Amino acid sequence: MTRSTPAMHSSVRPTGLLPGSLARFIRRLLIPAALGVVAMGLTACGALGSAAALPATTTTTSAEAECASQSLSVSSEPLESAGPSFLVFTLKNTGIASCTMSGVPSLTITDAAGNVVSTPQQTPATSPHSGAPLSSSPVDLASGGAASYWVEFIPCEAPANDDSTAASLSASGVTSGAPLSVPFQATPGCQTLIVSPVVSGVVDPPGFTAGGPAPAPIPPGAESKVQAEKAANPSGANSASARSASARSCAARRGRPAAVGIRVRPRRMRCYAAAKSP
Amino acid sequence: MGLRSRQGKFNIPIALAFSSAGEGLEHEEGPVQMAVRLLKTLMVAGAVAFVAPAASALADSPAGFYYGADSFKPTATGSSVPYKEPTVGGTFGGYAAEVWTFADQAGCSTSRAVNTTDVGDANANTQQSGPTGTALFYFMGGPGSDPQYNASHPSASEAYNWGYNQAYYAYKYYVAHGPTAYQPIMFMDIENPGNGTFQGWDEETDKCGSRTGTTPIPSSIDRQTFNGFYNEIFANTPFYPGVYARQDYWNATFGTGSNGSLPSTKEWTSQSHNVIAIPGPSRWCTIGACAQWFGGAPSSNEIEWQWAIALSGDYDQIDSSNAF
Repeated sequence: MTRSTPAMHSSVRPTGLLPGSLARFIRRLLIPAALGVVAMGLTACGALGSAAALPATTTTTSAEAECASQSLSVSSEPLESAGPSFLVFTLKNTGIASCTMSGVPSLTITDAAGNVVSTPQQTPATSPHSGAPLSSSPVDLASGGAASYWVEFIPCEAPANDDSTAASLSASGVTSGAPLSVPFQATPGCQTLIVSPVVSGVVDPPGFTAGGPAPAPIPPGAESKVQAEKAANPSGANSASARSASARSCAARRGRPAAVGIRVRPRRMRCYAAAKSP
Repeated sequence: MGLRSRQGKFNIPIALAFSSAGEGLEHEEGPVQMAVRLLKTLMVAGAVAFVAPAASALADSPAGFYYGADSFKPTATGSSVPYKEPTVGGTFGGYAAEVWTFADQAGCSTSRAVNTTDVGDANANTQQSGPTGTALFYFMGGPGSDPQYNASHPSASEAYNWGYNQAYYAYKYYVAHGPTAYQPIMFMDIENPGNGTFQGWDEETDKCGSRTGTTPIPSSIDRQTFNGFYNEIFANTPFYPGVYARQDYWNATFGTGSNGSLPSTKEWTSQSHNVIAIPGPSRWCTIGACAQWFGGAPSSNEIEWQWAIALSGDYDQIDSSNAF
């Protein structure tokens, strides 16, 4: 879903930010940058947070804009740990009344010049967490409610247009929208982005709000034992007959054309199994 | 044999001590009174003998075996390392915490069966050689709890993907919120909770576990969901995959053929079990219950046995030699 479709405008509530507020907000947050960023924009007016200043070290950030008579905050929580880099974006309605969003969120990959490289059409239907698909009908975000989304970088499999690819994640049609932008450090170069809505709607998702206690590392001794056992037992799927079905599924999927630079979580999963040796 | 040996060693002196202290001969008594007193003494002694393991610091046996717990309770005792197993005594050798559930993931609930004291105490006890620390389990949804599940034409890849994603989110939740696990095993909790909710291994449910259909699910489809979870944990996390189940439930759900085969999964069984914790087991048996493994698991994967599901909590036994 792109940010300027008529459908999005039609879903927007009539009240919203003043143009002056919008301009101030844009000036404050949207600073062109060379590195890739993800920006979450409330884009009913067609504004897109395409690039923003990158902090040297990303920390949880938040910004607020009006959503009718309420406030809507957006925050991100970078989770630096082993494995893929990913972020959790949370849209939270801090006001006293509900706020209607549609097309939550839409994800757009742009190149350094702001040209759209790729846009997913819908969120994975198989996700159990997709309260609303990427291009969805309006979602009411109740007062105090929140919607969270994963954004994940994994090693690039299909190089994007250039090394300075930027990504813009936009929640469309929240109101007559001020763009909210939460920049974070993205590894320069080719990226594959995954976005997965966790919960859309009226409650805080239980697991993906910021501030949870991170676990201490697994003791090296125990972890090395696990690695040794995995190395001694590379069979992975634990059952030859079951592996073959997954492999067939993945092989079939490989024949499909893939969106440039974008993969959506559940579809990615199937190919992991086939990639492992039995 | 080991259990009876422990009782004989510790309980008789306790019973005699109680008898002499509480039943002093301060006045003369006739034969009837003496008989009554002796009978009372014997009854008290018997009762003390029955509960004596709770008061004594008995260790599990043989070497490498430890008592432990899971979920909300019981809570380990003591104020410093080594923390102790409640009720039956001995070193608190390990604990399993619920990292999350498929219903939590779907936004249906937010509770996790975690005892933070046990988490800390189990991890702290790994300062000593032997105890395994805290492991994790994920209350898993079978393919029938996948909103995209088609009972008329179940898809193997969909079922696989469903399991894979659960593992993905289980680990991500762990990364974000813990609890700290010094024992890097992620158990799939596969069961029928029996409380009116279902997990979708043998039936269709909504995303929160309420049953919506009773069409049988092929064991091959169940296996795909299992494998999806297994593969994600195995390949993309520092954890090793495990499974918690009862033998009879496992056999009924996955069968005893290739779909139920578990050659390389760490195993935690809850069959059979008692409803009281005492007496604690030795090796994989106690009075009235022995561990029953499933899936043809090799003995090296026999990690944990939930020997008692009691009002005071879940009591587990762990073979540390098979753990990490």
